[in-house]
Amino acid sequence: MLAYLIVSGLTTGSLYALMAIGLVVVYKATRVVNFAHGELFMVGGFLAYTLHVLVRIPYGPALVAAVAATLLLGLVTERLAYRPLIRAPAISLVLAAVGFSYVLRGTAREIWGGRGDYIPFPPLVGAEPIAVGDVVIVPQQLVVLAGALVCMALFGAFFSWTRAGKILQATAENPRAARLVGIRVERVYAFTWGVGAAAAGAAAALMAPLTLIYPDVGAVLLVKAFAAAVLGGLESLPGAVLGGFAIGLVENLAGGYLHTSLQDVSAFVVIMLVLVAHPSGLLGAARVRRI
Amino acid sequence: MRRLVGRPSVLGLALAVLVLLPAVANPYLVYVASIALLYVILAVGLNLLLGYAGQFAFANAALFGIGAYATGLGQLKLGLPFWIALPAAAVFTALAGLLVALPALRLSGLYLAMATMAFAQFTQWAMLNWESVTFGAGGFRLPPPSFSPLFASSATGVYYLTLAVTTALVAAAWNAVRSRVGRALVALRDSEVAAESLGIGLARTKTMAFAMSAFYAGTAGGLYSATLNFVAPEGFDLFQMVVHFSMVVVGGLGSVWGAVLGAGLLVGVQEALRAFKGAQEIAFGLVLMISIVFLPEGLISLLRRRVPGWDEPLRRLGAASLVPAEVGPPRDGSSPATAPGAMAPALEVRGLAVTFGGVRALDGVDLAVAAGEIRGVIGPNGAGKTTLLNAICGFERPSRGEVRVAGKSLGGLDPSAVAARGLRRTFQSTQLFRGMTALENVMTGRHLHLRSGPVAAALDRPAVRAEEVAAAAAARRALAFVGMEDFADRVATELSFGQQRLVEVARALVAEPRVLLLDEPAVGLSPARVTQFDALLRRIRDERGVTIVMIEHVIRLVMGVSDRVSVLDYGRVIAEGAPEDIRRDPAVIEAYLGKELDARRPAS
Amino acid sequence: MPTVRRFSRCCLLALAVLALPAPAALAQVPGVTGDTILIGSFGPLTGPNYLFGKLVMNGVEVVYNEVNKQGGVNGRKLVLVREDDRCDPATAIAAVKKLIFQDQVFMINGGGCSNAAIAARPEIEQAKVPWVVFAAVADEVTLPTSPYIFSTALAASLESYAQLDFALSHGAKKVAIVSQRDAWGRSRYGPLQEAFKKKGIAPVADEEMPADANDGTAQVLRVRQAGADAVIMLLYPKAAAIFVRDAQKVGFKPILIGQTALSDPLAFREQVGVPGALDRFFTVNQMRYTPDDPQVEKWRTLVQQYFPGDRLSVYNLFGIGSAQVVVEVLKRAGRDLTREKVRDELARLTGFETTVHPGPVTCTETDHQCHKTPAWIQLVGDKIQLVAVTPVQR
Repeated sequence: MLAYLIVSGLTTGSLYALMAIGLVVVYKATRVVNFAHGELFMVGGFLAYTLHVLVRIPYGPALVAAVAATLLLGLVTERLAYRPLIRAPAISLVLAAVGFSYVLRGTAREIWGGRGDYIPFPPLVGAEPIAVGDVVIVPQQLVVLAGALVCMALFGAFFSWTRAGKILQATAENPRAARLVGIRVERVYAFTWGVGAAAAGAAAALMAPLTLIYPDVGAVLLVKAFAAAVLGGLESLPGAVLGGFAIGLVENLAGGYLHTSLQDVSAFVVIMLVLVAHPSGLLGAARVRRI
Repeated sequence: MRRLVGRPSVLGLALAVLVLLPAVANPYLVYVASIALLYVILAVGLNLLLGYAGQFAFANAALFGIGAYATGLGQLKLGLPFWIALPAAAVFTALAGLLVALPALRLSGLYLAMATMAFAQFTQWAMLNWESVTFGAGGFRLPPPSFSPLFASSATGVYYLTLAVTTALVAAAWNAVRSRVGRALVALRDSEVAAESLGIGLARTKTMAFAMSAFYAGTAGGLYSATLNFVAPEGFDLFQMVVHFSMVVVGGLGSVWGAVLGAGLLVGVQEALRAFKGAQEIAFGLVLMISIVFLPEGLISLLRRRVPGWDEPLRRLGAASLVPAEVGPPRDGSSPATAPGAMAPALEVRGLAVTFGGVRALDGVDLAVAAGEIRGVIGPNGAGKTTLLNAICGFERPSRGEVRVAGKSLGGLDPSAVAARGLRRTFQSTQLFRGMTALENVMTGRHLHLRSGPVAAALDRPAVRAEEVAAAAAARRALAFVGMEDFADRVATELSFGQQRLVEVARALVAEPRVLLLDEPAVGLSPARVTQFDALLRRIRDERGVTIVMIEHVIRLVMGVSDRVSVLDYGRVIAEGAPEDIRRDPAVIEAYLGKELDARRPAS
Repeated sequence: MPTVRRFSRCCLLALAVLALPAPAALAQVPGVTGDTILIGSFGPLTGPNYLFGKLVMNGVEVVYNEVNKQGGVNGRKLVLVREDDRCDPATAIAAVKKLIFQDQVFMINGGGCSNAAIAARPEIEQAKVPWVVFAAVADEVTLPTSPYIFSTALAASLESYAQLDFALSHGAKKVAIVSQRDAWGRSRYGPLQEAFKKKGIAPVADEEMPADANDGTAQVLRVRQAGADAVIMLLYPKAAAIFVRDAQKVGFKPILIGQTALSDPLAFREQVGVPGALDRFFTVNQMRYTPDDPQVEKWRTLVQQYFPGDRLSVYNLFGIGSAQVVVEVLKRAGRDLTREKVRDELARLTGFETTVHPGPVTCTETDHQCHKTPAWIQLVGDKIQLVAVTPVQR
């Protein structure tokens, strides 16, 4: 039983991690959490479904097209809900993104709402469960797990080792100074939001076979993804993955050993406790109050 | 009520319409109005926490639910009549708000948001699972409260009750924000360190903000239960929080009337959007986005532009008052240097050490500043000057050593407690409260001299008004002392850098401190300003009897005005004495310029 | 002086407001004109539960449109007025008040979410408006029996009793429950526990799953550990699909018993995504047919015609069946239409066959839960097989 719970904790956790990575990428460069991320994910899923299942475009091109479309949507979000509000208080940015998420969700419901309650999406690899030692896994779960780790590695390398990545981080730390040294701050923001949204679109294509596609799929996942990002420390990509795994594990272990009625709330209790001990999250940098 | 009315006819009209509504409108409109009114209570309460105190808390919808459940269960399980259950539930919710305040003491920003979200999730879980108490997912029905013989229909009675309670609570909030309480909240939001340095206890103020906001949410919840006559977990989840936040932000953060407007309009808009049927979500999202993007400061900013003087919640007095100079003692009993015991050094530091990780920022500093002295503190960058100041004022915890003020040890006190002992400071990067005018900033400096708490302020008692008048007078005098009296009503962000520095000094002075600590006050000032500053410091010492300790790099100022100068390097005092002696001290020269150049004299 | 001026301005304003015309006096029979009948409907049009409102109302509208094409009912066209309640009690009360007092509908054919419907019930009762519930299943919606409130949806308690009966009659000895802890789930869970008690047995496992769960391993393992040979699932399709998928993963294959939220086994099979997972899956269908059945081809075409892009779903069928009852009752009430007549016709509706209900729709004076005949179905190969159609008693 324990082995199963741990494995499924990690596989569920990788769902949260993959979404959390998208949140952290945007946060690292803009210091803003994109609360429309869940709906960008959802739209990516519906687009992939429409292209691959309805229009019958092969998987690869459909995936690429869906990711490209979400990237564009991310650019639109940035232009509409972020750029005009750069100087506004944080809560305004949050709400503008939330407003946009309502627009996306409502539109999806109008367009696809009558096609079925929870729409299935074909997995990348076969659907037969495979045995890994004692434990059985649905292959797509491995795909998602691998996807989360790959994304973490890629984005991590990008931020730490490429010039562009350093530019993004510099802009986040001090936009004014960045402008003074010639960094095109608007381009940086647009780029980041586009990339973050593309990450959401890619996540959708990978996760849709497991989560099914429906207009509200993004909403609850966003809460968990945000929790994972905060738990891990908002600026840390490994933190996001760690946070996702942690939440998945806590949920499964609490549900398995205590009672399944505790599943949803257990993760939040743990997060509260961790934050009290580590106010900046597990891997977050301690914040210094400079006077 | 007189104070409530900024524009009498508009408010009167609104109230008249609301009072007459049940007679002229159908039950649907009356119901919508009921809901709108209690959302006004919610929004005003949340605004106190989010807009004024700047606490990013996601627990309001859960507290709203706790209020509803408490009122309902108070009637069903404890047999309380509605009239008692409602206020009891409000108080109960305020206590729950204290629980939510606990994470706020350690967390801020998105981390606080997450922690309060967790509280909200936990509350939802309890509503669903604690079936023996809450009746679980199916909720429970309540008998409608009876208002006979006043009103035959319970719905009408509840409507009028809601109207009365809403009016009272809006008035209370309006009064509270225009007092010491309001300034403390804004200070908390705009600069925690400056707030602490003025004696505003962070924990106390945060807790108060959460409790007030929770009280409002609980009251709204109780009225909600009476309007629906049904209580269930729906309506209190995280997605409801979006609605709550929207009301506050769309109306205008940090403005009581903004919250009122936002709530009324949002409920109205939601009902109006019904026409869109399934496309409502899209329409609502668009409305939200458009109003935030085009009016980032909320709807209230529209009113502000049209009607100058409308809703300046922190400003209480328009004209200067003619109250004589009244020098009341601060609450803790500490007094300026003319008190007995002035023989002891005003400020004494013994063997103070502060370490950051492996770095010894202060390595045993000894300092004794006599009463009425102006002490300069200089040293190369990284010498530990600001750390010394922070450690004295309680912002850094020393690993050893002690600090004494007028002979009494400070012994590891919090900055706000240190402030109560008569220490005031300014900051290297000026920490004025951006949301306040210069006058309000300086009035906040009088925090410890005032006594009104939230309840007294809400009730607008005569004692509170008198206090405010006195505080404003003292603030004007302080501003005049530094030459900034003409800028009293300018918002802090409109002032130039040099002007801000002066206001910060006035804010520190208005509390009649024993010791004033200045952190590089002359940075960025023009030579003319530096000369003025020199004169100002002398006046502070001569006319007010304040001991001054000043960190400074501008040599002309330090050497010109200081009685004695202490030189720091590598966390230690390497020299101390009269300015002329320090100038020639080889150790000092070496510290600044290095050995090879010790033949040259530093330019004066 | 200013105070007096202020006061007199207020007075003048007050008088002006009072002079406004009083709210329009209610028409002779609200919602009925010479050639139209306004029928109100409330339910979730937005939010995660929109299936129980929007799609059901779509089904209702299809029926009304077809009836209108034939000339309407006794010469009057039927007009559906939709209101969103977002599955929220406060919004439901607002929706119902609007329908009754502002739109002034003749009767109501709606109610998608249980708590919302329960909250709105007193309003409708007080206003004496006939209400045919089309999707909300909690017993408290229709009980205690009210003269004006009837339901064409299979009540939750009836389904729960039927589920246990079915499990036991198919040889199960150790029955487990997996449920959602929301109003919908609890409305079934309570009666299910009662059913167990009445049979003198207890569930061997009692687990919960959130409606949007992405993993069911903990639930599956605990149920398997308890040795269950049948699992009654009080779950929405997503949670149920995850549970079934994870059960297959660990090789746990008990009898799986669904309910009307899972009454489209072909769609469910796709959602589960693991071959062979539904071999022992039986579910209740509130309707006689599943959406893929050729017998409902007509409705599929109509739904696609009126709502392009939509696919016929079980929720459409709920609405279709309910609307047919409403149309029938309006016909029987005659041209001289009043709410009391409709109320009375509803109370004596006996043995009425809609084209989609498994059995006759029968209301009596004392029992307003008019749908008592679920159909049990199973997926065999690619075909839906009707296993049983039996009326349920509590």
